[in-house]
Amino acid sequence: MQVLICPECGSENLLEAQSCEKCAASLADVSPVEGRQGEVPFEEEINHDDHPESDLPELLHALKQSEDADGSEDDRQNEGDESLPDADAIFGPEEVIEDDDVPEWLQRIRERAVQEEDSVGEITQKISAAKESLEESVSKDQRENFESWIQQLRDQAGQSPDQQISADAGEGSPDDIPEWLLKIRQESRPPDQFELSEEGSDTDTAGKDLPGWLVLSGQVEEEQASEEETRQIAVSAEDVEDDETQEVDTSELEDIAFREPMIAISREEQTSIDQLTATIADEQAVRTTVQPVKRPSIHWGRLILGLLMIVALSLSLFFDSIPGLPPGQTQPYNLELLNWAESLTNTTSLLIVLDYQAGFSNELKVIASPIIQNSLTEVGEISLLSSSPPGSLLFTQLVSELDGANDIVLRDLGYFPIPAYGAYHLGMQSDASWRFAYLPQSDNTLPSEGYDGILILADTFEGSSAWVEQLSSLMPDIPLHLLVTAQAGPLLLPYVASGQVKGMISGISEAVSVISIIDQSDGVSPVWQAYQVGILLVMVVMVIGAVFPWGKRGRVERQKKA
Amino acid sequence: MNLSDLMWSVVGFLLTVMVLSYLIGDNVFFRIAAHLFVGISAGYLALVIMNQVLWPYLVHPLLSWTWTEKLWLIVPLVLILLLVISQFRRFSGLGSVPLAYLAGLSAAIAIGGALFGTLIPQSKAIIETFNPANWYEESQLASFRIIEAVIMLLGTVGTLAYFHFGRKRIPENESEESDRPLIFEAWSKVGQVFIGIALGAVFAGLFSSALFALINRIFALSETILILFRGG
Repeated sequence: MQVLICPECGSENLLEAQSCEKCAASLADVSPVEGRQGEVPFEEEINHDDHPESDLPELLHALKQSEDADGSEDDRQNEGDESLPDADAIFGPEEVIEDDDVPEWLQRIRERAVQEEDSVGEITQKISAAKESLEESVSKDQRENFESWIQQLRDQAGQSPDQQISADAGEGSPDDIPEWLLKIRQESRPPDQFELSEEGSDTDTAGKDLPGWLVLSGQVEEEQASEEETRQIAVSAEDVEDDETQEVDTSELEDIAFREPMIAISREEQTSIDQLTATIADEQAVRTTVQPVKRPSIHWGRLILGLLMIVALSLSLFFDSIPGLPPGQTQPYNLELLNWAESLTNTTSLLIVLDYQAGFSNELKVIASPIIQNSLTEVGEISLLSSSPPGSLLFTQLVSELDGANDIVLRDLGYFPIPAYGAYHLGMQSDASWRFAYLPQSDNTLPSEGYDGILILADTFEGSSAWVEQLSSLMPDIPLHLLVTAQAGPLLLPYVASGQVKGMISGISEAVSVISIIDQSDGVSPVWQAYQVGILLVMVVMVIGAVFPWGKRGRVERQKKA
Repeated sequence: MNLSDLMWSVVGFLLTVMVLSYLIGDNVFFRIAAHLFVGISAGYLALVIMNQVLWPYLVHPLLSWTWTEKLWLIVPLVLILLLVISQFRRFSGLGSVPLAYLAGLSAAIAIGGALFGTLIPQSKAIIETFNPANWYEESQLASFRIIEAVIMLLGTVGTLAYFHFGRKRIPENESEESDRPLIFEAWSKVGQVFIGIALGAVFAGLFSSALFALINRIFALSETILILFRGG
C-alpha cells in the first residue's frame, strides 16, 4: 500500500491525508511511496483505538509502550524544536543527564546525529524498541516474533534493489567508509573477554552498594547498548550522506541482543550459590522415608455409648418383665388404611409397589404383616411392581412367613430402576390416548385396566414421593395407601393432609397402635419394649451432651471460658 | 432349622459382628464387610437388570418379534450403541445423545410430577384449610381447625420468608446490597422455628428407623447364639 511520508517528522500517513497526523505539516507536495506490507500504515495500526490491545502480539505491545513512553517527550521536543522529533528515542533523558560520563566518541556521534535531521528514523526507533523488549523477555515466542519482524524490516528495506548499498563494513570497500565511522568502530569494539576479579575490587568504584558481578553485567549491557546505538547512527548517517536506501544487516543486532554477559562473582557469592544448588538438589532427591505407623485410634466415647446401647437393648429384649408404655393414639389416616384393607374382597385387583431395601425389611415386616395377614389374604391376585432390586424378593419372603400365604397369588410385573419412570409408565398405560397404535406388547406389559387400590411399601421419602406424585396426578381415582418406615413418614404427611394419599402407617409406633386394634401382637411386644428403652437412652445421652459438652465442642467452649 | 439356614445365620452373625466392630474404629473386618456389601449389591443389581429389564424389553423382542415389529427396537438399539462406543475416547462425544435423551426425559417426568403431584395439590390443600365451611363441619372441632389454619399460615409464610434471599442494590454504591427488609427478617425468624421442628421430626424418624435396625440385628445375634449353643 502506498503512503505519504511526512517531510517534517518522517511518519507515515494515508494517501488521502492532506496534513501529517503527527505534526500537522502539509503533505501537499509529497509524492507517495510504497508503505509497509500491511494494509494500513504502521503507526496507524498500532495507535488505532478500534483494535483491541489484547489482539496485538507482545512485541507490538512493547513497541506501542515504547512509543507511548516517548510520546510525551516527543511532544515537548516538538514544541521547542520540530526539526528533531525523534532525538529522545535515541538519547534518553538519563543519558542526557550523564553527559559528563559519556565518552568523547559517543559525544561526537550524538552531536553529528543532532545536526543531521533524518539521521534517526523510524526504523531505528523500532529496532531500539525491539531490543528493549527482547532484553526484558527471552521467551522463545518473542524471539520468533522478533525474527519475523526483522525479516519484515529487511523486506521493507529491500524494496529498491537498485539503490541498495551495503552498510556492513565487511561488505563495503574501506575507501567508501567515512573516517568517522571507522573511528567509531575502532573505539566501540567490544572486549573479547572480561577479566574477572574474585574480590570484585574493579567494580567497587562503579557501584558501592551492588555486588561486583552485577555491576559488571550492567557494564556489559551498557557497552552493548552503546555499540548498538553507534551502529544505528552510523547507518543513518550514511543514509543521509549518500541519499540512498541502505540494507541493514540485522543479524549482528540479534547477536548482540541475545549475547549472555559473562558474570564475575565473589567467593561469598559462589558459596551462596553452592548452598542454594545443594538445597534444590536435596529437595529433589528421592529418599526413602519411614512413615510412622498410624495406630488406630479408639473413640472411647463412641465405644462406651455403643456398648451401653447394645447391653440395654439386649436386656430389654430378653427380659419381658420390663413394663413397656402403651402404644399411642391411632391416627385417622391409620384407621383409614385399616378400613380400606378390611374392605378388600377376592374380586379386588390390587397393586403393591415395593421400594425398600433389605436393611429396612424387618421394620416394614412389623408394619405390613398385620395388614397383609388380616386383609390381603382375601384378595385373589396381587400384582407386584418394584423400583428397588430386591423388592419382589423381600416381599415374597415376607408373605411366605404369614399364615395363609398359600392363598395369596402374586404376579410380578417387573423392576423399574427409576421410580418415576415406573409410575409414569403405569399411569400412561391407563390412558389409551397415549398408546402407540402399532407398538407390540412385551412380556412384562403392565395391565391397562385400572386397579381397585394401590399400596406402596417404601423406606425413603424420595422413593415413595416419586410414586405418589405420578400416580396421584395420572390416576387420581385409584386410592393410594402407604406403609412406610419411620424415616419417611413425617415428610409424607402433607400428601395425606392434601388427600392424595388416603391412608398411611409409618414406623413402629403407629404399627403397634394398629396392632393393638386388630389384636395381633405376636412377637412385637419385646421389640416395642427395646425400642422404647433405646429412645429413652438416646434422650438421656442428648440431654447429658447438651449440659456437659465434651469432645471437640467441649474443648472449644472450655478454652473460651478460660 | 436345616443346615442351609444355620449356615446363613452364621454368615449373618459374622457380618453383623464385623460391622459392629466399627465401634472400636476403622478396621479390616469392617472394611471386609463393607466391600462384600458393595460387591454383592452390584452383582445382584446387574443380574436383576439383565433378568428384569434387558431380557423382557430388548432381547426377547429381538428373538420373538417379526421383522416389522423389530423396527421399533431401532431407536433403543441405536441409543445403546452410542452409549457403548462413547466409552472410547475418540467417540466420547456420541455419548451425549443418549444422555441428553435420558436427562430430558427425566426432567420432564420429574417436573410434571412435582407440579401436578405436589405443588398444585398441596397449595390447594393449604387454601382449603381457610375455608370456613370446613371449620364448622364438626362444630366441636371448629376452634381446633381455626388454630390449625393459623399455624399453617404462619408456618407457610415464615418458611417462604426464610428462603427469600433477595436484596436491593444501594444506588450510591452499586457493589453493596441493602439488608433484608425488616418484615422478611421478622418472618424468617418465625420460619426458622417451623423449619427446626420439621428437621427435628425428620431426624427423629431417621433415628427411629436406625434404632429398629439395631434392635433387629441384636435379636438376630442372640437367636444365632441360642441356636449354636442349644442346638436350635
